[in-house]
Order: sequence, then structure tokens, then C-alpha cells
Amino acid sequence: MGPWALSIAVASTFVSAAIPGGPAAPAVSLSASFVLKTTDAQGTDTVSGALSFIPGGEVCVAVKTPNVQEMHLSPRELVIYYPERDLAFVAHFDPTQPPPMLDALAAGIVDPGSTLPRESKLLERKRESGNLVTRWRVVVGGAEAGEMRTVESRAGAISIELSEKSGKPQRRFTFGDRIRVGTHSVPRTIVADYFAAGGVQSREEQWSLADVNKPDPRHPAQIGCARLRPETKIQTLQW
Amino acid sequence: MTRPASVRTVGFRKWAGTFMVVAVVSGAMIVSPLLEHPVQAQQGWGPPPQQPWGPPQPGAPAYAPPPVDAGRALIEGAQDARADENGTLWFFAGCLLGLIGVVIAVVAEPTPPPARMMGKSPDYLTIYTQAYRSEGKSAQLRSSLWGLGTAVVVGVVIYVILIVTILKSQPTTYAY
Repeated sequence: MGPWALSIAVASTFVSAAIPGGPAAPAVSLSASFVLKTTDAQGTDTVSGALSFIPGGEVCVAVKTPNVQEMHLSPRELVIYYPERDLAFVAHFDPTQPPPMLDALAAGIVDPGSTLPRESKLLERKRESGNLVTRWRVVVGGAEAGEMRTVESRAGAISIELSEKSGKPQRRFTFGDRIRVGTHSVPRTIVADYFAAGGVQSREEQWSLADVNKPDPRHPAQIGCARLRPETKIQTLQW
Repeated sequence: MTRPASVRTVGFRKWAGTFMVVAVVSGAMIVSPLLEHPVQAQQGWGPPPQQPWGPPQPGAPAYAPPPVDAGRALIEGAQDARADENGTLWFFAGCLLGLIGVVIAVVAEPTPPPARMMGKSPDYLTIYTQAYRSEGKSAQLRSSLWGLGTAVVVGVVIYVILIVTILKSQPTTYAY
């Protein structure tokens, strides 16, 4: 089993946490404004806008800067809409393998243990400085794919680290400044570090959320859900 | 002492010949770039005229803004595809499945995470996706071919060792 199987398995489970029918599908319903700073070999990019996890398992993102854009991920398709040009890109995919979207956010909202494939085994559970430290062996399709180490406080996860079988890190999520929204504890600062094969850091995402709230189910304000008009130019995005 | 007239004539011819060669080469060096870039032929040695800021003059040709992030989209798409590619998986696909693994590597379409397209322009999105898929496919094909090559080399080595072992283990017969 390749080292990326771990990442794919857990990432898709994070996504399924926001999609109905998934193995661990809490009804996540929240909206917030965000600033995302991404740093990689090419430099730093800053994106800001608003996002919402919609009851029913869809994710909508309205980007305000640097380009006005609306993204809508549902279990079957991804729509990226540019309202200023009335242009939309639509990608269709297998509902059993939706692409990971906002996995850093989803990872901070759901219970880390519930995101693992069912065959995974708990290796260790201990208290350290008042926090619960848990180590899991991640098993995908009967084969060991790596490990997941989580540190949790009463409020929720502080950090999640996925590593290869060899011990080299794959992804690391660090959460802070939590706020209670309905039944969920939502982190308002998230740092996600992504590592390439061999453990070299390839990318860092820094999320800052503000105005986190649970939308009123009677008046759902669907943020940036890419509502296409009949005259919208649609291009199929090969996926 | 004066030189004979024949010697002077030969010296002048040599000098004139050298001058002509230098003149032709210099001329060619000046003219050939102008032939490659005809626009330069209209330029003088002085500094280029300053482009006034603001909207173009009436009647002047209007140019589209340069595709600022096209190159970046290409580089980032290729770079992300290489970083995301599961080299180990495709190596073993080629190694264990042989040609079938290579065919799967050719057919399978790598797809970029949608979050990387947040806030990007439509042009960036198109170029990035194409670059990602193209480089991802090449990378997984390379890995699967390495796997196939390794399997073939290992197979040949094992085959040679077996043949040598069998030949050595057979009793030597002598004909008298």
C-alpha cells in the first residue's frame, strides 16, 4: 500500500464528514467568513471570502479576493462560477470518491477518531499535560498505511498528524481559538502543513475564520453556492 | 629606400581585401538581427519614446492585458502534480502488474484538489488543471515504467542465475 493511501483515505473521510451517506456524517451546518494564506515554493497567496457547510452535506465558498468566484461542491459535482464573467466550470466525479475540499476545516470540526477507516487500530491513549494523546494505526483495505496521532483538549482537537509507515509526516493540522456553534466546537485558526513524499514540506495553509455561526434552518443564507443562470457559459472541467 | 611598385600594389590589395572582409562581416552582424526583428529596423539609437499612461489614444491599437499568471499556473500545476503523485504506488503497479500497470498509469486521470483553485482566475484554472493532469500522467507513467524496468531486470538476472546454476550442476561428460 502506497504512503498516499493513508492521506487519501483519511482526507476522503474528512470530506465525507460533511457529506451525507459517508461513514461518519455529522450534520455540519455553519457559515463563516475566512482568510486563507497559502505558502508554497511559489510564494504566499491570500484568499478571502465566506464559506458555508450546508445541511445535506454540501460545501459552498464565495471568494471575494483576489478574484470573485463561487465554488459549490456536492457529492456528484464541483461547480466553479465566475459571476463577473457569467462563466462556470463544472466537473463531475464518482460520488464514492469526491475530491477533498476544505479538509483542514472539516478535520477540526469532527471527532478525529471517527474519520479513520473502520479497520484502523488504537495503539495508545494517554494523558499528557491535561490533554488526551491518541495514536492510531491506520489500516486501509487490510494493509497498514501509516499512523495518526491526535492531541485533544476538552474543547476539541488541538492537533492531528498523519504520518507514513516509515514515520515521515504527510499532513499536520493544528487548531486553535475554538468557539461553540450548535453542537460543534469550531476552530477559528487552523494551520495545515502538507508534506510531499519523503517528508519534505510542500505547502502550508493558514485559515482564519470570523463571524462563525449556525445558519437559521428556516432562512438558510446560502453563501456562494454558484447559482447558474440559463445564459451562463458552462465549460466542462475534465476531472 | 623605396619599395618597388609591384610590392606596393600587393600590399594595397591585401589591405583592401581585409577591409572588405571586415566591412561585409560587420554589415552582416548589423543587418541580420534587423532581419530577425524587423521592428528594430525602425528604431534609432536614441532612447525609446515614453509610453503615456492612461487609456490608448484614439485609433491606436489596444492590447489585451498580459496573461500574468499563465506561466505561474503552468509551473504550479506541474509542481503540485509531481508533489501529489504517489510514486511508490505506480512503481509497484508497474513492477507487479507489468504492462497492465503501465496501461493503468496511462489511463488513470490525476485530479487536483479543488481547494487549490480558490480565488484563481478562469485562465489560471484552465491552465493549472491541464498542466496538473499532463504532468501527473507523465509522472505516474514514469514511475510505472521504472517499476516495469526493475521487474524486467530482476527477472533477467534471476533467469541468468538459474541457467548458470543448471549448467554448472550438470555432470561434465567427456567423449573418448
